[in-house]
Amino acid sequence: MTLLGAALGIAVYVSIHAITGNIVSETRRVIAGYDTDITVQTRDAATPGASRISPEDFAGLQDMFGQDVFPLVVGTLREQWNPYALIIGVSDRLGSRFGFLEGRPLAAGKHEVMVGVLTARRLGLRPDGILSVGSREYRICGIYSVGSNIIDGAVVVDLAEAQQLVGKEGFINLAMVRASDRGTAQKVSGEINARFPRLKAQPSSDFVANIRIFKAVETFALAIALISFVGACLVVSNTLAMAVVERTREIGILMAVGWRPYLVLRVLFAESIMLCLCGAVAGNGLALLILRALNRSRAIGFGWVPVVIAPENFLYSLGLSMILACIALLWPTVVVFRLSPAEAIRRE
Amino acid sequence: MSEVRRDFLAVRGLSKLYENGQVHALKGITFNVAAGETIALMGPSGCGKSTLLSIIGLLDHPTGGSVEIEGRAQKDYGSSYLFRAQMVGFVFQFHHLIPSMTLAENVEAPLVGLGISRHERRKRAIELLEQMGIGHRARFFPNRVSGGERQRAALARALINSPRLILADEPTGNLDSATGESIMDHLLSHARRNAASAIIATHNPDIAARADRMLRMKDGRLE
Repeated sequence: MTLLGAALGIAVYVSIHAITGNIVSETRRVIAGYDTDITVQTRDAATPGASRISPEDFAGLQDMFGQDVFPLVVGTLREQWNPYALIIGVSDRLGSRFGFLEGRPLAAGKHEVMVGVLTARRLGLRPDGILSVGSREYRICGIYSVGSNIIDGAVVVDLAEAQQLVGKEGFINLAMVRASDRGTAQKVSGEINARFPRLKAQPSSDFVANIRIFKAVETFALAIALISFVGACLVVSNTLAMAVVERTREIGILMAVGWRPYLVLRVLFAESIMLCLCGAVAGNGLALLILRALNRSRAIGFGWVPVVIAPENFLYSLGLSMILACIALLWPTVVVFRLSPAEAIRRE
Repeated sequence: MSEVRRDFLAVRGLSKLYENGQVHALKGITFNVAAGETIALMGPSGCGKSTLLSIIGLLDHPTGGSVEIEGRAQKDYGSSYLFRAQMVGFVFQFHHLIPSMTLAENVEAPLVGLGISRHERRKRAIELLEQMGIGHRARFFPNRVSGGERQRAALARALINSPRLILADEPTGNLDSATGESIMDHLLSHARRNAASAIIATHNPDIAARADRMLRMKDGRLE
């Protein structure tokens, strides 16, 4: 039961961190994949999805940067085939940069859709097939793969189609800017921010780290992890304290034959470490099962839940289990140091 | 018996109060033990024999009085744990072996805190178990051997650090007379061979008769 308690605590921690870490790293990869220097969204938006850049502001950006600014529309739709279907609207120029496994890039105004490889596999879709998006039917022109699970779990349509589908006619979510020939990204971002008070431009490398909702999600994940960690601490500490109580006479005998309390604690520490390490390994296994189950679930959307645990996440959980083993030993340490060998030996 | 030996242990006015002063377990106990001398401590149950042994072995603290070993107060020996590991061998009435350890592991336990290598510890434990006639049981857990074998292992544990003071609390209390005799043979021969002093609490007059001297206790006092 103790092993299960420790494993559950670690599993909760690993699963939540795998999911939140995946979303952040995937978003970072997506932004990096556009190979642009600056990402622009509206100042008051907590997420890229909530950003609404007006046609006037986008036109102003085009005046500044010409062909080096790319519009992007992002939104989710509740579809029968995916309750959190990610819809991405791109311009022709951006659409042609996707890596195609089958078919070709989409052509504007032809009711076509490019389907990510994850979505295609889940739904068994092929080029020239039909996919219903937002109660309209679209012909599938190609299957793409960009290496990002979130984008590979999405569908991509023409910019104007996407604006209609997600209810943002005329508006875009993000503008991606190439400005390496104009100075540092920081400097050009400052120029954009000064000229467009409703917009917030940031170097693309900083963009993901500054997304407000991600900070909130990470804080939430930290809170959950802390709660599960404290719970696991209590479970393991209680077990070790019970081990001391149940073995009071044995501990007294060992002290009678010359064992110092630290030697007794060394034995308990070894038990605690073994317990927590096994808990960590079992917890990672459990987390893997949870992630796979969530990944298979259509209720969450394609590509949002990873099916692997990052090595650093695994190592971090092992480190955490070591800390857990030490903290759980605090109370038993007090008990052992206060134990009188004579009384302990008399204990039934 | 007739030779004059220097005092090894000096117990001076030892008293012990329990239960917030309501139970007076020891009342001014004073006696000396010479080096290599064996003492039989006799008396009815509850007269304070075990308490006296616990205090001499630094398992418990006296309320008053003192215990000196070779003219030095026990506290001068530093840590009570180190004192026990280096100087004292305890034998309890019930074997008090650790059930999760094999006989060999139990026997070598007193050496663990003394910085002796695992190999050396095991070698000494096996040798001692063989001397006790239970070398073939070294890898057995206590619940897999007989009561007599357990008590022999417990005696081996008490003797493995070659203690200069052996404190035995009813070491044969739970054994048949033949096994009890055998345990006493081992204990006394080891004490004499190593010039170790021994205090053996017992109800058994036959066991007591084998000691160099007998002390009788009643109601926390020496008679």
